[in-house]
Amino acid sequence: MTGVRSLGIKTWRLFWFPCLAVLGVQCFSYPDCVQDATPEVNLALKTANGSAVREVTFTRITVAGSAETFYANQKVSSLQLPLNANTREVSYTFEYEGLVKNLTLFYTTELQLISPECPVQTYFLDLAVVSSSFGDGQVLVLNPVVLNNGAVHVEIRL
Amino acid sequence: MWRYVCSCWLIAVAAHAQTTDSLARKDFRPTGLRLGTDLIQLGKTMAGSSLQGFELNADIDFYRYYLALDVGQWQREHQTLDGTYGNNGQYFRLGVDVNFLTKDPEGNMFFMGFRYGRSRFDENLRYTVTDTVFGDYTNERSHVGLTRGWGELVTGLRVKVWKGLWMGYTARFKFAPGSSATPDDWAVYEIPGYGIAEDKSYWGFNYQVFWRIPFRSARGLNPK
Repeated sequence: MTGVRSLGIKTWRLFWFPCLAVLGVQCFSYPDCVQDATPEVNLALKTANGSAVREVTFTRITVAGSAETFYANQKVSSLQLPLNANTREVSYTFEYEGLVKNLTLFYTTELQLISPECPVQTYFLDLAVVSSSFGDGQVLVLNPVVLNNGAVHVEIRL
Repeated sequence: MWRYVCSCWLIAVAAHAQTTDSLARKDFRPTGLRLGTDLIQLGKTMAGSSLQGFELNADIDFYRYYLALDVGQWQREHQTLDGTYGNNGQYFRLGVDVNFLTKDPEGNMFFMGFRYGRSRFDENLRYTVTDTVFGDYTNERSHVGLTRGWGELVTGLRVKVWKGLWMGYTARFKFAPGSSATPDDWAVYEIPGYGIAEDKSYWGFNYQVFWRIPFRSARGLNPK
């Protein structure tokens, strides 16, 4: 009788231990693919004193290292331009209203693998102006960390 | 959500145990060494999971206190969405458990304790980026000989099943994994024995089988 009772207890133990293991395994999951990194910098166009939004009709904008043109014959007050993850600088050429202006931005990058189910994210950090032909103090970095949150990173006064 | 469920469950069990146990006569001489392994890790390895490895567990009793040591090997190969990720390393955990079932005649344990874990590992990442502006490219990064430490609060059960055979589980609340920053521009992804480095706290779970080697008989504890 003791043996049967003993066997019963052990069988019960063998049953509920795997149940707890299943419960424990449920505690694991991969993190969500939060895509907060972006390879595009947001630029706002302002008047020379920065007090108002300025709309500009661009002939075109080109980026060093790419054959693509951006905002060709478009009237806009804000821009989204690409950053190159393989370099630490990117240079833009703005052609508008008969003028040609250049802007070079510096940045560092940080790679992050969030989960095998997500693409590797490249974060662009420490955004800074290397050179600009818009004039002293006319290009301001407002947010040196480039995230996909709608924030303006650079303000150009022209 | 599961984290909160698990937390509530552990707290409830702990509160129950504390109200039903009482201290026995203290005898700090060890009565046996328990050696075991983690069946979940072993099962994953045998099933051909992306995680290959093993973990060995040992503890020795000093009255209601147990000195516990875990050592493990971890090798992971992931196919990621845009490439591959690999991680290879070793880890150990050292700590103390406190048994709250001091009057159980077979020495079954409900315990809580802490661990300090440390890992040494290499990892590499290879990925391809589709870039419509600057052109597609493939990149590769490697970390060699990284070390990271972390802390753990642990709780669980050890139950005698048959003679020297014991089974048990350990739930681990892991925390403070150290910085994920590295000398290069790629943040550490995974720490062997801990998990994803970006998670500042993490739940772990071991389902373990042990064999106990008795040193001597003790009052209230069957050495077999």
